[in-house]
Amino acid sequence: MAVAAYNAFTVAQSQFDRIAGLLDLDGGTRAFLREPSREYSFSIPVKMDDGRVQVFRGYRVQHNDARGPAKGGLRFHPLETLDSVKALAMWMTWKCSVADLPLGGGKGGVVCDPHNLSAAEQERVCRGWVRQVAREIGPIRDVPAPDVMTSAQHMLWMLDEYETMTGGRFPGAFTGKPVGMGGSLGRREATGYGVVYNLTEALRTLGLRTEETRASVQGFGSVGQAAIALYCELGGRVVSVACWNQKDRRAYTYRKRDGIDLEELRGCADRYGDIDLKKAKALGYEVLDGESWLCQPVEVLIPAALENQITVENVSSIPDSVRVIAEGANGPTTPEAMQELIDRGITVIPDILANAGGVTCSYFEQVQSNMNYYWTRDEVIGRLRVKMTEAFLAVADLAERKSLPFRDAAYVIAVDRVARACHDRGWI
Amino acid sequence: MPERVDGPDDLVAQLRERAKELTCVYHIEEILRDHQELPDEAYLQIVDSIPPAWEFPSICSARISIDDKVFRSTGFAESVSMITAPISKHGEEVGEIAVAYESGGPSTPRHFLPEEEQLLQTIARRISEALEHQELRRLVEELEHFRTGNKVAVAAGAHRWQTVVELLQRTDQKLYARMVRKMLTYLGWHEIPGAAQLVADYGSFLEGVPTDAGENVPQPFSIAPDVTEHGTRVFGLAEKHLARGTIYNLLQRWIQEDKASFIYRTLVNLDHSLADVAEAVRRFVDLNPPDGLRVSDATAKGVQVLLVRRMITNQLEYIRAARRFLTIRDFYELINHMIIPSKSHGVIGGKAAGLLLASSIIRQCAPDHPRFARVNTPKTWHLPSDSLHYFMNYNDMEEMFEQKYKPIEEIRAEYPHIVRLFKHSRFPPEIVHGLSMALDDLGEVPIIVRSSSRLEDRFGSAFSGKYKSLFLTNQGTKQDRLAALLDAVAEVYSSLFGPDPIQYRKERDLLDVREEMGVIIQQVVGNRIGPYYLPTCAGIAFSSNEFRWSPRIERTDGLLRIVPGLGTRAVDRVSDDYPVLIAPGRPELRVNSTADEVVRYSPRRIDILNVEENRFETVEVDRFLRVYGEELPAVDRCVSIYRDGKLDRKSRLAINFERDDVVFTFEGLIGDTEFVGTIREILEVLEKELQSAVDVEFAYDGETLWLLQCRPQSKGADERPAPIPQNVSEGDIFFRGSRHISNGSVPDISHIVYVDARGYSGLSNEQEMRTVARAVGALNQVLPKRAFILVGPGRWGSRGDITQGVPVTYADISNTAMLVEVAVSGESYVPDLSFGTHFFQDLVESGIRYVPLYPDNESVFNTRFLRASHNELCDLLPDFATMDRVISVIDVAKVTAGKVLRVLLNADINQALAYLAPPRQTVNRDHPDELPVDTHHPEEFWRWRHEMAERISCSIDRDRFRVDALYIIGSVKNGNSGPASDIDLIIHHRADAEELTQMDMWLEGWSVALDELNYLRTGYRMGGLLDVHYVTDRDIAERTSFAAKIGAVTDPAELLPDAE
Repeated sequence: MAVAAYNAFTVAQSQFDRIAGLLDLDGGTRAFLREPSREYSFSIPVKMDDGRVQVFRGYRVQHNDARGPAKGGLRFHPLETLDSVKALAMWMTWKCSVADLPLGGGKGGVVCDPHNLSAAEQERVCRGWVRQVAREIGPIRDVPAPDVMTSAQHMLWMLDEYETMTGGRFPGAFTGKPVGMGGSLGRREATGYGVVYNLTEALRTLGLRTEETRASVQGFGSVGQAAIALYCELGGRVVSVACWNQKDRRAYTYRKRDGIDLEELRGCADRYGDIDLKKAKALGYEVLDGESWLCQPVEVLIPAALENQITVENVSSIPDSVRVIAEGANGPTTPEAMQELIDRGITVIPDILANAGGVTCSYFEQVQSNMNYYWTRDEVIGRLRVKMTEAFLAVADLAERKSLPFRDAAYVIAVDRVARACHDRGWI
Repeated sequence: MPERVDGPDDLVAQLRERAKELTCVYHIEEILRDHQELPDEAYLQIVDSIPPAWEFPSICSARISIDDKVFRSTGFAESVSMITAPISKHGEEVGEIAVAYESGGPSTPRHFLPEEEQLLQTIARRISEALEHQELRRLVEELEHFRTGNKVAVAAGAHRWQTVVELLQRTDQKLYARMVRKMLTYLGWHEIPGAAQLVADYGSFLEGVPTDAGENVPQPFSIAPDVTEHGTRVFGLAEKHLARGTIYNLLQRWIQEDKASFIYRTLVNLDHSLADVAEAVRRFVDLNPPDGLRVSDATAKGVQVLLVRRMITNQLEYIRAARRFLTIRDFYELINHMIIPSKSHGVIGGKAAGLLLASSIIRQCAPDHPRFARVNTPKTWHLPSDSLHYFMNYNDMEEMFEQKYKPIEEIRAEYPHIVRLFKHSRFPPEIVHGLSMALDDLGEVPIIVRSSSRLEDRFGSAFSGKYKSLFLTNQGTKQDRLAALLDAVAEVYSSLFGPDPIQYRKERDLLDVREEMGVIIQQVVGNRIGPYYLPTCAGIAFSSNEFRWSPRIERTDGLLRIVPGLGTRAVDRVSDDYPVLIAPGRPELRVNSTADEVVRYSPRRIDILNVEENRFETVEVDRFLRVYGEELPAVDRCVSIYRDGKLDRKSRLAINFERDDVVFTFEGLIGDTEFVGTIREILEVLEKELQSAVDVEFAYDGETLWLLQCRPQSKGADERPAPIPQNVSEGDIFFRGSRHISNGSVPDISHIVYVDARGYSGLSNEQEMRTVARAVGALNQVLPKRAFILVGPGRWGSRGDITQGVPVTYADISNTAMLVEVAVSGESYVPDLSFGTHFFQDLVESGIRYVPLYPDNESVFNTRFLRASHNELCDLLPDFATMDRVISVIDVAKVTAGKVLRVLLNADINQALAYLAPPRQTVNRDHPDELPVDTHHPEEFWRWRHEMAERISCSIDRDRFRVDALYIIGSVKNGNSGPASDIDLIIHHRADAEELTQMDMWLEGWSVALDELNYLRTGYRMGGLLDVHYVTDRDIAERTSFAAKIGAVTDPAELLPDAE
């Protein structure tokens, strides 16, 4: 019987410990940052449709808000535990910090399975959650966003409850709202664009011009499509795209050596990026095995689908032409595979940095909501570019100067910024 | 006083007198002819017209006395000079007519001429005749009133029942004889003194009257007595003991009922063809005005049941419901929409039968369910089942019936040829003519041609989807449309010889059944939109939900599968698309809760008819909506707009179909209309009345809900409650489940993939957990499809915090037969299981079963078996050898010397059982779900019960408890018991209270013991298997409650044998 069961929070802590070691943080700082600043755990009584009362457990964890109001998602999950919320809150602190956003990290959740709840009951859960923590959140304290099994609708219910309680209009209290109801333009493409802004900077540091490079992309969802759009716009050539085929229950890679045409492919895909095999073939695409996207003779790989796609088993099939891997998805590379890539001198832009476009746009939504003035899409994208470029350069600079892998460099910068803010405030 | 003149003018005078007489006779004749009834004026006119005919009109006057009335001509007074003539009716004097001369006139009676006396007699006779005629006419009319049940006449005519009888006797001897028989039965039944003697005298003349002879001795021969004499005695007795009104009413009712006799005679005689039946029904309905059938309930029921037998089915379950709901008028409508070959003896087939009954139930229940008033059924025409034979006979294709005995490979190989052959054959002219008529009636709207075979949709047999259904756009010239229809009918016919249905019949021992195929031709519900024709949405609804996605949903909440356009995509499981699922009892609990999920699992394609191109098409929802969304009726109730992670409903005006992200969610239909509520009500009513879970196909054209089909809920082996044997030895049990169990069975599992909860939670990092998922995905590829089960801790398919379950995607488990989630006990809480929500709809569409196991006392999980069995993982997947602590792969046959794992699920008793068992004889991997489960043939259930009832009957101490007889009724008697049926006994006894208590205890012992035995065989525990009803002599005499079952005309109790 194994006792050392996997616990997300202990994993997050040990990850932090390693970075703290690299930074040589003092004991007090380590002790402070290893744990969340504040944890709220509370009961949410809800009157169900049939008249019964059911009590749900709600959480909100503010890991650190030294750099600004906490920011992080709110999850509805039947097996939510305080530990998993704590781990995710800590990760948000680092994520906001590496993108150099003036925000802290938080996370929350309700132990419930929305599949067992009617829409009306979910609304009451949302409002109940807000009633319990209204005093601890808000545009200047902690700003929740949609996460697992929560959506824009949940945010609007919560916002409404919050505004009702506080007697004002505070659209900046929640993000992830629809455009026109305090949401921001450009959110759909923000993550994909962020990946490419990082990528082009990485290519530049390697002395490569984007227009001279080829890329192979895994995933044709919103991140994949946005990344392809921007990459092509900047002159790059995407030669293959891998995506899931629901009908055949397997993935395929679609290849066109002289470059795919995004609009053409979009024309034969459904809204989830499920490309129609026959149509693609008719358009002259070669249809290859789902793993083939890895072995294309390209300079850039963009895994933008699922976690654990580049593993020790397939990492060797990545050709030597590949110079940069931009992690559009969360955790697409396993640690063992990562080590081999580092050994081979391939630049891996880690997920925490590469897909930070999403949280950056969320920050922009907060900013626009707080001043109640909304930018055009171009303004949002322009500012996103500035933010992402700066974030990348900082990480690249550190990696270069200290000969750190990108992943470590990103975490070092993130933790260092938070530690310094705490210190400057005189907390530690 | 005038003098008679004699002399030369005598002859002239005589002639003048004769002319006067003739004038009078004519005049009176006219008066009588002008009046059907003789009113007072008529008599007055007659008396006035008499004197001019006499020799001395000026002093002559006349008088008619009839009954109590007297009519006189002017100045009438009796005198010595007067002659009279009697007026009589049926030989009875009712009045007289008198002619008199004034006093002082001719003073002797001789003053009247002989001709005048003759004339008076003639007039009297004519009046008598007129009166008799009038009486007779009244009687005839009365009889007519009598036959048609005109109540108004009853009170007035009550005293005249004798006339009715007399008239019957004179005019309709057969009817008279039947009336006599009925009256005698009535008298006997009411124990009128003397009736018994009459019965004894004429006993053998009557039907069904028991005689004293023993049952194996022929009744003594006797000569049928003279009916009239017999009748006189019977009615004489009736007159003595019954009130006049009663006799009159009885006669009236019986004559009414007798009107149905011709339809009875037609229906009972199997030589009569369907056309004869149709004619009889038409005549019957014509005779009975539309404002209500004027026959007694019993008569109507009798006719209905016979019609069901002739035109629909002999199945008792169906008849039971049909008897209450299908009226003769329904059959009238049916035959008016039926193409009947002249010699046909066919029936309409299962599919048509289901719809007919369901629509009739809905219509008749409408008064209590106002929503039903808005439910419709499309216009439908029928070809009877044997028209196939006429078609084949006409083309000399009879040898085709041998096809089914050929080897299945041969059948498969020859099938395309058969289809071609059928499509090139010609139809008998009368069928062509009939179909042409049907087309004219159906009009130029698309139609669907569906099979309606006798085997399809029977209660208790799932024979659906085996035969063809073809859509026709039905456009163009009449000739083209007819050609297309004939072609489609031929193709539907040919599907009878397809390999799949034959294989299916072979497996169920139905091969030798004479399979016939009726055909339904039905209007397709929908609207013309651009080049297309389609309903706004359609689907199928099940009254019993076998795929619950939340523990808050009960089976009785039902299930709705709804898609835009034609319902084909909802009825069949389409692997790459999803219908919207709703539990009508809990419409607010959706399978998909977040907007992203809803969108992900929304319908992507739509089936429609392209009427311009004349074909059936499947088009992308997005593309369709962009162009035609605006035109789709009620579109705003069916779609939501997806934007910024949120789904919103918008009004039609606000939707921009070209730019908005429009998704079919049916949100408005569910939330704002009575649609779901109506369907739920329909399901509830149909389930109640048909005493069976049902499924219903429906379509919605934007305004009206249409019912397209109804049948007993198809229960393939994967949806039938499997009997759970309780006598499996503990060592053979792999697991038991007792919460949230659905129905079904997976009989032949060869491999078990088991992810150990401790091993999994003991993994030190997320990485390893993902490796487990990848290993499962790899096993999914190498293990035999649908012959392995996955057993794992917590929630399969976890995202995010993957400690809660193996983070597989659907692709990693797509080939499994079953997904088992074992709840890992927390310290203070019972963990939630996923119910497969991460890929619920994928599981439903691929028929993968789901079982949750909770760690409580009732669940058993045989870890010893797992530990003792060899783990094949390392051999199968060397790459994942390091995971062998966590994942076990067990080859069941290898470790158990050839056994398989059998999983039986029963939602009725909420139990699941997985145990090791010998494999069944035949295993068909292609259709594992289509084989009968185990050896539990339904017949076993009643046979055993019947045997047990006999044993009780033989062993009960009849002297001690003073028992006269034991009877069995209900399902055991009728041979349709299920695993949960009880045994209904009637005990006829003379016991006192004390003896009764003792008998009760004695039977209680049996009841409990039988229950235990039944439990061991089936897993059903009823708390006692016997349901005993005690009856006494008095009950039997008074025929109260269950005693009425003894010797009942229909469904009588069956006498159980004595020990001797």
